[in-house]
Amino acid sequence: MNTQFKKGVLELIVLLSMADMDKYGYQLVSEVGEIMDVNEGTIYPLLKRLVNDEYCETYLKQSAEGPARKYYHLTDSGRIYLKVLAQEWLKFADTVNNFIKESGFDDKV
Amino acid sequence: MTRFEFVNKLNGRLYLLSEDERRDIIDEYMGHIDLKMQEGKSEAEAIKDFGDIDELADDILQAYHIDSSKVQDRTLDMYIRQRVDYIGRAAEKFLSFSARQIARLFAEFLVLLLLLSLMRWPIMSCANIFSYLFAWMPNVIYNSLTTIIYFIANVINIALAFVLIYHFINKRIMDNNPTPPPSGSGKGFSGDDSIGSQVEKFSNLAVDKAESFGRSALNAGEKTGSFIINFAVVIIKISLILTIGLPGAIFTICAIVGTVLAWVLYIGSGIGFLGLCICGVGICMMSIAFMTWLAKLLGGKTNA
Repeated sequence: MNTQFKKGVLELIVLLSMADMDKYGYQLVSEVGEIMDVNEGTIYPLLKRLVNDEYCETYLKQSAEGPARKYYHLTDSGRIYLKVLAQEWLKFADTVNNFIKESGFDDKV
Repeated sequence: MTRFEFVNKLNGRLYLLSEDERRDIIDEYMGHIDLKMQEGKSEAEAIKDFGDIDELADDILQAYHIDSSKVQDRTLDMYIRQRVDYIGRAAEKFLSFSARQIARLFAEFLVLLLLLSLMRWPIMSCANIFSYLFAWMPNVIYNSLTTIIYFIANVINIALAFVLIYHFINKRIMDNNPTPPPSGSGKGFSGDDSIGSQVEKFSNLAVDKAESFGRSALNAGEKTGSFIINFAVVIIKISLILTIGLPGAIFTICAIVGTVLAWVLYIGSGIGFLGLCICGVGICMMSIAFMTWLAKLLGGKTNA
């Protein structure tokens, strides 16, 4: 998949995967990794940025095996941001899909 | 790449961030590597999955809205900060070593010193041979040539020593995993404790005390860390200004005055002084270029 595509939607996918429940870094990385093939290293900086921009916050929680894990929790402003992003994406994807159909290119693919 | 190489490299790229932030990021990566290894991957594989370290560091810096392409312009300031930070990390690592590791390190360092003194010998004999080659020359030339040769030999020696010690610190201190302290052997001495083991216990205790003292001193130092770094930057800048900047400035002024004088003489007494005038202009341009470079180097701003 085109790396530029991935970069654009990575933020949306990360936000989505922590929306239903709080997750720790590794969990998020492996979940996102299932959806698309991204470099694992790039997700942590993204998480960092989301925390810095106050779209999510972190807390430590003891785990049964090994040291405490850092969990990521979506804040209210993060939820609003996610909603805007998701709407934007759906609209954008629709427009692009329609354009592909209009240009008659979908038969050739 | 091992875990420690990874941490060192990443730390080096992220020197703009504060100590806490860096530790936070690196802890997260370490946790990731641990979990990867639990899944059966090797350490090297787990680190390889992170991709290129430079790109990773760029991504991280972008999270703090630092444009790394603007930072690429390495000023002296940043170089010193990086070095001071490196020394600090080496010291921290050193303090986390056990007494046995420190003893071994000391022995290895002695070997390194021996090696350095042995390496001095071939370089110095080369210098000797070279100076003999010029023995037939007139005394003045011979003396200045041998001075230059010995100066170069010494510079090579010092440079070699620096490189070797740097590698020594990298390999022996930065890449070394501190051994976990031996588990506590219960309170009180049991009956079969010989004097020897009691002494050993006592010395272990003393070492532990010393280590914890060192660590707390380091923690106290961390708070004033940025102050110390700033102080070091200022000191180095001042010494550079005094040793290079000031003579350079005087030289530049002299060159300009000399050129103007040569020009006046050329106007006054004819073609003979034109060569001097052109030389003066050349020297002026070179020294001005050097001074602007120096000013740029010294006046570099950081957005840390």
